[in-house]
Amino acid sequence: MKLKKLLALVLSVAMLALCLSGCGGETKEDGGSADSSGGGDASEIKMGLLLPGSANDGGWSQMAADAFEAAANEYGCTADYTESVAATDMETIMRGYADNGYSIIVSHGAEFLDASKQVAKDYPDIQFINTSSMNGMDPNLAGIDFGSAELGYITGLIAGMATESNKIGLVCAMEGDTTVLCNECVEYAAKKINPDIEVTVVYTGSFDDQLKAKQATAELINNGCDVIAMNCDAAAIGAVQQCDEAGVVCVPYATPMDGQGSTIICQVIQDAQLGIQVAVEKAIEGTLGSGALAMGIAENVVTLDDFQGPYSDVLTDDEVNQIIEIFDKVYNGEDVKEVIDSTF
Amino acid sequence: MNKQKVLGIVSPLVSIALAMLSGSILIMLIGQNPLSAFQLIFKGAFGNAANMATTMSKVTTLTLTGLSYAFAYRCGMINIGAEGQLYMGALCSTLCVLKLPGPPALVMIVAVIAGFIGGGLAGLLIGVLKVYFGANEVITTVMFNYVMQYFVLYMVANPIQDPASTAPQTILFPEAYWLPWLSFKSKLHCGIILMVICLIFYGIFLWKMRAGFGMRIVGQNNLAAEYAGLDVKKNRLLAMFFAGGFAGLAGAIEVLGVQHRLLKGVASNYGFDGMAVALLGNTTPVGMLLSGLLIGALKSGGNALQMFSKVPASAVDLIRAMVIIFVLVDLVRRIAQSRLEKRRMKVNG
Repeated sequence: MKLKKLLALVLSVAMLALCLSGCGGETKEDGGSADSSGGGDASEIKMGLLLPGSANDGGWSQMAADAFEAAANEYGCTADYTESVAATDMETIMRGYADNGYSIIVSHGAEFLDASKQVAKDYPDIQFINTSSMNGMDPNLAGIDFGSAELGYITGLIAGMATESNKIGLVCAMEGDTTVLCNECVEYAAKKINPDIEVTVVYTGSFDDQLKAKQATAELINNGCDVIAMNCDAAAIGAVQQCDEAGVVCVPYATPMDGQGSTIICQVIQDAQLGIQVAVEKAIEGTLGSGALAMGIAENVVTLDDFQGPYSDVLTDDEVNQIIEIFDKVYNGEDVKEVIDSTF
Repeated sequence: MNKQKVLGIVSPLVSIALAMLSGSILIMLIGQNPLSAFQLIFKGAFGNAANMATTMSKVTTLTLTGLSYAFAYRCGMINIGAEGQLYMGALCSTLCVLKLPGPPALVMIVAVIAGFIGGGLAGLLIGVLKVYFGANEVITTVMFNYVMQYFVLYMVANPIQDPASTAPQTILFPEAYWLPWLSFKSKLHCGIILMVICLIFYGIFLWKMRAGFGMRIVGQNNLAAEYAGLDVKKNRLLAMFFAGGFAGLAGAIEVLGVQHRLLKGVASNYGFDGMAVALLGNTTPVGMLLSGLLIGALKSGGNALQMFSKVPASAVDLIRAMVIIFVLVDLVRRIAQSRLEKRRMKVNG
């Protein structure tokens, strides 16, 4: 009798599960509505995206997920993404997409570059895109450079003009090649303003640990830095808060920190979302080649915020105008390094 | 077959069904079709040869970390440190590959052994702290996880980092050092054979050998064991060495057979998932193989669910956690047993 009851229970659970399955909604795929601009072929395209964090983290990962969705909606493609991909799963997931008919595979972040290279060579007909990387591309692996150098040069100018102690601190997350390049440009531009300026970089290793960013900022301030620039995604909030507590001016670069602190004198914003969207759309159209797709100030991927806030008077009007003038020249197509070299 | 045995088989199945039912509700709340979701999980885990190979490689690592927990558990200790011991094993194997001269096949074998011994010594250290200093092994193993995690991070970001990469990882090992493929096409490596050998050893050692019997006695009642003349200290040290060794072997297999390099985060929570494998499998060899298969399939299928549907990563983790909770709580068995007992009491008056 007991067995019969148990069997009945198992069957009931199974039936209920099946009933529930029938009640469920259809599996959603982005971009189901085919758009005329995409054409018939584009709607056949399947794209896969690998994210280092959550698709709704309000920062780096969300930028890519939103850009991806926008491109998919524009062209009526199928777009799927995988969140919080562990380093140990990168290759498996890329190969999973490749083996299942996905023709465009985007990995978001420099940490995916080696895995992308490893997989891309086994699937020559699939377009791989790695954001935040520039070097060592294979024919079917494109990188996107979101104007890292321009971002660094403009930040360096602002920080270089703002410092009085000649010590600038940079708070960053990971030591990826684009971040390293960007920071080298910060130092180059700052030293153009004053060769005695020292730039100290701290890599916290985390894009979302605000406490680590805050502690790193406190260390930099204790060591005499009177201008802090931060580029560590959501974690930068901690760095800005520390600047506010210490009354030290700061310049967020890359991720905007609107309303996070009163010591922000200006922000140099990197719109990675726009950059990714452009790259993905080029991939859909088949016009994305190998190598790095470079975008920056001229493409509105790097923008300069207003100089405002109670601390913005650390820069004179002449200095502000000089920065804006250089920015405008680059926007109109001039090379940022050449402009800086000729100005200072 | 008696009722208890039938209950032992039916009860986990009902638990899994209940977990899937609650998972279905969750998936529905997200606005997805549960049937499609579970189809995707199954397809992702066993859909083709490559997926099966991926699943089996996860099962291998999970079962070994499960064995790590189980070995210590059978000797009356709680080893939360499989994660750290896995890191240690992975590091020792990697150093062998990177630094040892000699024929690659030989170096690879030495690397596997080094992984086991490295993990074993890490476990032994915990045992020494427990036996000679009375340090609680739960605390020391948890802390040791951090020590090893950050030590490996330091190593892969500094002395043994791939000079051509900014990512915290070593170079990709030359193919000659990879664990041989059982099936090249599906990329199934021979680590699974090592795992089966370890399971058999575990079963024979604990249930067929005198030393294992002594270890189980220590685990059940160390005072009684001491009174009976068993060397409790020696048994505990040996158990922790084997526990660490299995986790270290998991690390060696992970770097030599799956990743082919040491990288940050190589443990990927396997140490903690291994605890679930051991407990779900009731720390028996067959039970752990089955629970390893279940957790491995959920891990591997969960990736597919995320990749091809809009079910978020957190929901996938939630479903996996629910399966573990339902099976561990073992509601069905408890209800059935309490009814059986009530009836027995009635019959007995």
